[in-house]
Amino acid sequence: MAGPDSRDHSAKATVVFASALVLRLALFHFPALSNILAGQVEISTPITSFKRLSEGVFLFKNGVPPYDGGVFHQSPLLLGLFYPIIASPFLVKLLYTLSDLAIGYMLLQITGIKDQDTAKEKKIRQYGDKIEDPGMDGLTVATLYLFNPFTIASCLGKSTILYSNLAVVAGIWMGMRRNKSLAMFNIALATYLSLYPAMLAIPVFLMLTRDVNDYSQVKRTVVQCASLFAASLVSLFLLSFVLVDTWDFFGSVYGTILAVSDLTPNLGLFWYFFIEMFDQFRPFFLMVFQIHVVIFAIPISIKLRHHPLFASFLLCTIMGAFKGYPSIGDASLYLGLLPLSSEIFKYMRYTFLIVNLFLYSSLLAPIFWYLWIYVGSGNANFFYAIGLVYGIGEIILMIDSTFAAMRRDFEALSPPETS
Amino acid sequence: MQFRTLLKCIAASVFVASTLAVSDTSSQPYVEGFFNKSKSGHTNNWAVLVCTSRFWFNYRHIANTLSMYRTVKRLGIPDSNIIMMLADDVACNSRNIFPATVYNNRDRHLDLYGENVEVDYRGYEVTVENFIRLLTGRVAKETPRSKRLLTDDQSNILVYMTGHGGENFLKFQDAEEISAYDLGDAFQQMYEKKRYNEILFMIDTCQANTMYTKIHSPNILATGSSKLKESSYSHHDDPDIGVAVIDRFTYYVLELLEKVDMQSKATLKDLFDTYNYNLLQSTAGVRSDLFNRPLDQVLLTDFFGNVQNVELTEPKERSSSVAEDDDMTEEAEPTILESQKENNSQAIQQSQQQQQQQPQDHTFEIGDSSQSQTWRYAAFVTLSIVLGGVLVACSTVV
Repeated sequence: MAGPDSRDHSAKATVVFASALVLRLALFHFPALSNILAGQVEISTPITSFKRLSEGVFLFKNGVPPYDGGVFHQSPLLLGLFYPIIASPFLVKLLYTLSDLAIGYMLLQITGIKDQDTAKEKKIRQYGDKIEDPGMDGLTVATLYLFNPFTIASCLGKSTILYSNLAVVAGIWMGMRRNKSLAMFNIALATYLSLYPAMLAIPVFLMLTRDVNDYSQVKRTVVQCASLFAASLVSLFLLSFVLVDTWDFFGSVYGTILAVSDLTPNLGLFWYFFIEMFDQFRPFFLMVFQIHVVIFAIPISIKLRHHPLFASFLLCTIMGAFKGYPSIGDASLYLGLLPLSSEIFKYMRYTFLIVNLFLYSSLLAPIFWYLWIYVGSGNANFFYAIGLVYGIGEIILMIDSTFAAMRRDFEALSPPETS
Repeated sequence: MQFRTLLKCIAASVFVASTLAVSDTSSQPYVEGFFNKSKSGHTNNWAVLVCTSRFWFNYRHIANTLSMYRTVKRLGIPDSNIIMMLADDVACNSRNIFPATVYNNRDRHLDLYGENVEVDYRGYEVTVENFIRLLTGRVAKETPRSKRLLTDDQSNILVYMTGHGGENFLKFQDAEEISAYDLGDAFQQMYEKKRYNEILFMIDTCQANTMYTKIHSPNILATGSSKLKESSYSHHDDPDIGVAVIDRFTYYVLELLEKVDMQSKATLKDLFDTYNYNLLQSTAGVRSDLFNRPLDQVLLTDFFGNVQNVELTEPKERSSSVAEDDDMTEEAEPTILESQKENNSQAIQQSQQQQQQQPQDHTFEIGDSSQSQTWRYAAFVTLSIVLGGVLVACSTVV
């Protein structure tokens, strides 16, 4: 689209992205803030902690196998990424800031594609002949992501979940652009980094084939996507092997994600449970918890096959709520994906409750952590309770947004009658 | 004839009598005296020191008991053979302006509670029942060894009691009393169970002498500080502590005992002779009718001390071979030193060589491994670029 609109649009976009950049770099200018946030358990988990990453890079630099120590649980490609730049703090900050901005940019692009799709599809009729209002525009979506406090805190805390988020959003973008190989590669990269995004292969596949009606072509696409996904994953593993010269990273990275061997407290459900569990029950409960994360992938994808963007949001929320080591970086991902389905907002019923639960839990979590660990007047139950409140907030968000999406579908078929 | 027979009878009897006399008196006393010291027949000493009073104003009773404790320990009875029962803790009483101390004199030169004081029964554990159980040995199964009176029939026991008493009774803890009959029965049980050789029962309370009137077992010597209808008095008080710190009877007994050491031959008669109504302001008494030995032959250390009979044997004479050994060692030393010096120098050289070798054996080599790291990293970057190109090509095709 040409004309003053696009120039305005691009001017506004420049303002938004520039201010996001400036804000992050300005906040990075105070290393104390970054260090404090990097130490918070809500931001950095054993598999995404920047401190552990620096430890791993140091070991790698000095020729010690980084996965021998049991402290480093991140993918070898992150080692490769940070190996040349970790000596310079400025480059590290710049990398994180640019990754955040890249996600914002991709969200902008996704919204643009989605708007194009919406322009083509049948209009939803609401309350008589009134046509549904258009959803948020791309810049609002990008702004909501870039200026979300969770995003900023996660970026400042240098949590490496950012790269997994980047891969997820890139996969969704490429899926919307119908680019099979790049989409599958990005999902494979996200899987390689944090394992759970493998579920997103299905919604991304649905995005890739959203306009294809020919069943045989769909079948062909399935085969292509599966082989692309497998090939990308294998090549990533081979690349890692070349870098660290050992296959130990499987046990260290994916073993820790699946077996939840490090029970450092976080905002999730696993740690408290597994701290007090007897060893003979551990495999069973571990299996149950992990199945609980992935079991929703297929049903959601079947039900929401016409709304793959919303399905990907929902799966990201499930991932963020039920994974072994959640953090607010996961929250920043699904809260950034939520405005992509902004047309459901008017059907959501518990927005106030959800906002309050998120606010309440994010304010009290550091306080109860402090009370438990430093002052000693609280105990683990306080912090875990706040983790549960946070989980409830996420769950109500999931339920309410799904209801809203279903309601919108229903109103498309049979709009409510008036007078 | 009759005269000869008479002479023979006289000679025979004289001969038999002299033989008997010789056999009786020559070696046996030595033997008996060696194995049974001082002819008293005891081989070990025990002391049961009981303070029955509670509360701050009975400070002096605690001080009495701790003074006797100190004395018997000084004269050799070990803690394992002393049962001390203190009904209250005045050392750590909040009213004690010299905390963790107990003095028995105004000059406060001697802290009785200083170090190494073992109280076996303390506070509310000092009861009549516990005392009688202790004496008779009928203690609960779980009673620890330190709270048992493990005496045998060759034990001499000093039983010292102090507190508030009256006619035929002694008050425990302001709540109960032990009567003289109870005490007599307890001692009788001890006699029947052969739990003592001799007992010296010393009591410092008001009307103390009444407490030993009902004892009826042999080999028990008793002494008390005052007779019926008489009170025993405290000696002096400490104006800083605020209460009396010692009783008269115990004070004057200690005056004698402080001059006694383990080699002393002072007897109980000497002690009892010091009893002076003008000083004690009460009539101290002694009951010795149940005691077999004469008091001037009973050493103070028979009851207050734990004097062991030791005989030194002659040391074996050292022969000249010892001197030769010394010479040999003296000669050997220089050579040993020299060889040690040689070893040292060799060791130093070896360690230096090892230190030089160490950098090459060290696993954290910066030089070599970083080179291999760089190569590997370069390979990684190249490979990733290649794969990226493949991916882009794939994306255009597919």
